[in-house]
Amino acid sequence: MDKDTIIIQLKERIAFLLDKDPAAISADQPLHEMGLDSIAFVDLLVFIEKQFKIALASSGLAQEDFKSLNCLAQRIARSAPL
Amino acid sequence: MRIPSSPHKRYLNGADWCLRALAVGTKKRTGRRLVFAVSVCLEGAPDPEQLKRTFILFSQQFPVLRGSDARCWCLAPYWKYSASLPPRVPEEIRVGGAVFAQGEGSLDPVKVVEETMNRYSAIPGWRIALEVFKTQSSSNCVLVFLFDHALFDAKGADSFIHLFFQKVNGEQPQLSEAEIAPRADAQLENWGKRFKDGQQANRCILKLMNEQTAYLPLPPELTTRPIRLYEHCFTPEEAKRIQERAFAVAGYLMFAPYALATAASAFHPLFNRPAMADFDFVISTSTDKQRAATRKRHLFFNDLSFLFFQFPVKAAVQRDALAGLLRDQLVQQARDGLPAILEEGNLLMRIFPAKWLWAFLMKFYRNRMSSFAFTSLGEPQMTLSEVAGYRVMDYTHFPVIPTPPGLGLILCQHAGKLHAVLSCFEGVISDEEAKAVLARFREQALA
Repeated sequence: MDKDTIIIQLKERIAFLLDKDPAAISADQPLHEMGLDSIAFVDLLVFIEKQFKIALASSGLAQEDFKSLNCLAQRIARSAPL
Repeated sequence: MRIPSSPHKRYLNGADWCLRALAVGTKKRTGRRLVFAVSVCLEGAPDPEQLKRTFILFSQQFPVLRGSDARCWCLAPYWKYSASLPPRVPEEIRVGGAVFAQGEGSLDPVKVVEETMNRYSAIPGWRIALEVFKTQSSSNCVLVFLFDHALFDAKGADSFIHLFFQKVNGEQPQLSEAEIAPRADAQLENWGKRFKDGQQANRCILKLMNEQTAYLPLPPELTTRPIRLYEHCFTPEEAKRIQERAFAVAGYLMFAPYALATAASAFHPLFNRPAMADFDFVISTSTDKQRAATRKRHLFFNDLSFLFFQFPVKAAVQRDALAGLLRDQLVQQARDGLPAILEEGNLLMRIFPAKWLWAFLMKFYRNRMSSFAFTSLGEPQMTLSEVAGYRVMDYTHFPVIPTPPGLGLILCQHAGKLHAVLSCFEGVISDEEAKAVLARFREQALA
């Protein structure tokens, strides 16, 4: 799956969690500045696990992976099974 | 079969009914109602009488405040209310307060809230109240809002205060029909699925519960004991540092597991007794329903579900490792969909009268329920920075903790500050112990 498709899916999920318009979500903004809290973020992690088959929660959740949706999508694209 | 809500009949959900059961039990044990307070400190003192008049006028437009529980032929409990306007101010809406003469009273918000909460939690009938406190010489004032948990959760209370302040500021808050007269179906269809959800939720919870839940014994004669409140406020710089520590220790955006691990570590010396050496901390915490459809602004009733955490008492001495363990438990519960299945399963529990449900829960939890209560609220829905032209200096939530455990810690943020509030019944822990818990929480949150 390419990075742009991943970003679209992540934006849709975050928009759902935050009750926002997906278009209002920037791919360059850090996730904690979007208004996600622990519970919403865990929901996003579970979505990523189901959608992209990657268990990010067991990777220690290093902040570098979540600097922005771009970084996160890159991380997913790198690790996602083909 | 779908049984729809009708005008002035709002069916209660599972969380509403569980809280009603906790309220019944807390009343039985302590003589107190399950209520909570929000204090708002203003840098300036608007006219108290004008504020109270506006509050009454604003609150009176919500007929739902003048309702009470009833039970439908289909066995689902509902909130019954009438749209007709009462001839005078109804007893469900209260106002009060004081202007202290020099040296007569304290404007310390915690003391003011404690006194107000102790007074109101023993009074039946009211649903919402506002008390305004100021001193003759002071240029500040403290507004104390009190809410009946039967009708409000923390987010609903924040939204209500936000709208009220908009009114005070001369704006016309936009209210939908659903907010003025909320409706909700009986949700009694899909019994089979909900029964299975309930079974699955029970299995998840039973895995966490055992006969060795660490607890502090409740003191005798609880009905004569007041509620005690303690607070510590972290500056915005400290709060930012705590967030950075949380991200480094527990993982990105893992503030809640970090804060809970820190709270457990702060409470640990109270539970560190030889008899409890092999016991477990069990902590239940309420959480907002994380779904877009339910994240729309709501004012009334409880839009909540619950999460549960369990770990050995001795694990609390290693805060950083514990934060990781709690993060994993949080992720696992999200994977299992526990909040959602619990919410579905709880719908069936509504067939029990609240008194029976309380007895059932006490038996299910072996009379221990949780070691202490914990909630992390985040930034409030009340986002106004000024009221009547005066700056909002502080905005803090203060709960009455259901008993047992009668002891809990709540975290809330406002304008970058982080407030840690410890609430307990007198005698559950001493004054010195409560202050020591908050001091340890402060020290370890920043460590």
